[in-house]
Amino acid sequence: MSLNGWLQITLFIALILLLAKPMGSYMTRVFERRHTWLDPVLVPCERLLYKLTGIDPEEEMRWTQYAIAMLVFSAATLVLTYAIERLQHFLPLNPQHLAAVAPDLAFNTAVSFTTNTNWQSYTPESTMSYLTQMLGLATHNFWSAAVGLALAIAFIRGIARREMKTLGNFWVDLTRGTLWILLPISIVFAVVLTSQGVIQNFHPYTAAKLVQPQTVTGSDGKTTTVTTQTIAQGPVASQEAIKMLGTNGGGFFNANSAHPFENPTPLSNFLQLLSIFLIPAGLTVTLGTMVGSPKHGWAVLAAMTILWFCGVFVCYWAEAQPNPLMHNVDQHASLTQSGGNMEGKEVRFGIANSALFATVTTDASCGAVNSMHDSFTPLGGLVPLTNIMLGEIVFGGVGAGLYGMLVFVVIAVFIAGLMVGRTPEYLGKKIEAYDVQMAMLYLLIFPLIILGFAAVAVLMPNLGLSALTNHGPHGLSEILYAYSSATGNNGSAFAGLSANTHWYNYSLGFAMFFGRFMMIIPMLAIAGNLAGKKIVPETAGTFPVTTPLFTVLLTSVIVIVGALTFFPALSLGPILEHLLLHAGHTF
Amino acid sequence: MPDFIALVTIALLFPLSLLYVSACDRLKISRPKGNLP
Repeated sequence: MSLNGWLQITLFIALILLLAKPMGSYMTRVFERRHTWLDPVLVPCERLLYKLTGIDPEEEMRWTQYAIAMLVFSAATLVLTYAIERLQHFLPLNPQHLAAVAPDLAFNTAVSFTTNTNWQSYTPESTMSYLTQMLGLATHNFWSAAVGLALAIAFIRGIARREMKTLGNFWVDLTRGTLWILLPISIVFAVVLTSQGVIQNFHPYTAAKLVQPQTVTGSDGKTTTVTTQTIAQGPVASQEAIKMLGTNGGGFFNANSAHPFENPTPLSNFLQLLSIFLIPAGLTVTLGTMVGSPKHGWAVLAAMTILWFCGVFVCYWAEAQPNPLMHNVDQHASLTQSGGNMEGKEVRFGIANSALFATVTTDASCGAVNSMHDSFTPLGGLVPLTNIMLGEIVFGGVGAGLYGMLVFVVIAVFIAGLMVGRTPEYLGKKIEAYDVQMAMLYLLIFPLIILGFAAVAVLMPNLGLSALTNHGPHGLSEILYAYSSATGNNGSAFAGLSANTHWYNYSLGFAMFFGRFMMIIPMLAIAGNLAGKKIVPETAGTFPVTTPLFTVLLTSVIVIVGALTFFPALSLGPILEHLLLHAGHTF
Repeated sequence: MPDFIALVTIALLFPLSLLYVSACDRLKISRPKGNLP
């Protein structure tokens, strides 16, 4: 680890904490429908949209109506994306004349982008036309992020409101989140990215003549001489901005943010990192403001920051360690080499920015990568895997991170109530049996999907194991990572798994679907139930949710729940691999 | 045929989700009111 690396990491988190307040205050104004400086332009657009779609913006929805509206919207956009993928060979903006996407892959991809996962079982530049990337996938980057934002705001309203049956209007929240927050920032961000060298065009792919032709021997033993290289083009910057801001993560190219056309410079890398945490950090301030307890928002932000630091420290430390199997090679960091584990990392980012990116992208449900997680050391790879398994509540995905964290808050105050022997309260609302039941349903569905599907994949050699390129504990880590990433709606991968098979396309598709909607519904049920409750006056026995003690309790609950649930699986995967590596075995 | 499988899967997933919404809502109605001990 180097001082330079830590300075960059410190600058990153300092800027996030500084930006949280203005971003959070702005989002509060947007969702409370107060005046903003964008109103003169956007209010007419908003009114026109409501008029065209017949939506009454004043209509309030119960949690069930809110959930149904969200499901109807998601179903319609999923079918639209599936159709675009299947029909892309008939549609315009396909200069490479790419064929229709196969049905199982189209299903997987449509579910993936609808659920904000952006798991990609395919190589985008050789599978998806420009139209599919823009109309089928990039639009989902806006929609799925806006859905997450709307849901988080609905949960906040559930806490803030008293003796009401409604949580707001899904269509209004969706529209305002898209128009006021995601679109303006994405437009500015896309322009900034182009200044760094991110491409934005509709050109056919470029065929470049190689200065030095390469002789390649294929797996069949045939030798061929390669004289040209195909360089993919496309409208990348416009997709890149929302890919990061909306914590979507689906790359225009297969190499994602490691590709020089997606992430060319250290500055573009730093801005991409900032954009992942920008909205999730701001939402904690929105929470504090809307529930009338700014300190509570800061306490939640503090818990997130502690967990983020633990992750980035372990990941950076592990990746900066020399490989124990290469003890006779100089692996110390110096002016001429990075030291540590540079396999699968870009030289322009180095170890610090690769470890930071891996931590941030899995703290949030982003899933973009600027290095190959499969090439991390076992303990370095353990960090992104654990971040996902904790539920991606460390800042988390846009909206999804906050409502996931608030479910943990419900459990934390419930445990605090049990410890002192009184009915738990959260910001003046009694936490009762139904709230805890729904919170437990939310928490239990997650490991059930991950471990259930992973177990089936491991037990079926022809379906699950045949797609592996690594065996032993590393192979198990790849399967665990795939189902964790899908269920957590992250989308990153231990890319040693060849997941474009019928089994993985459908099973990961189901994992993404259930991991999104089966968790949102109990979360909304808690919000709906909380909204109807009275506020109980605070007494000396009330557990405060604004103090360092609360932050410690919340952090502990998250770690203990995550550790208890997944430790056995992790011990058979990355932890065992780490021990075997030091005993001289690799996989 | 594979299109049929994918579309039927999609067509089944969302009605199942609506049933799940209904089940979560009914769970509350069927529970007797009262605080935790």
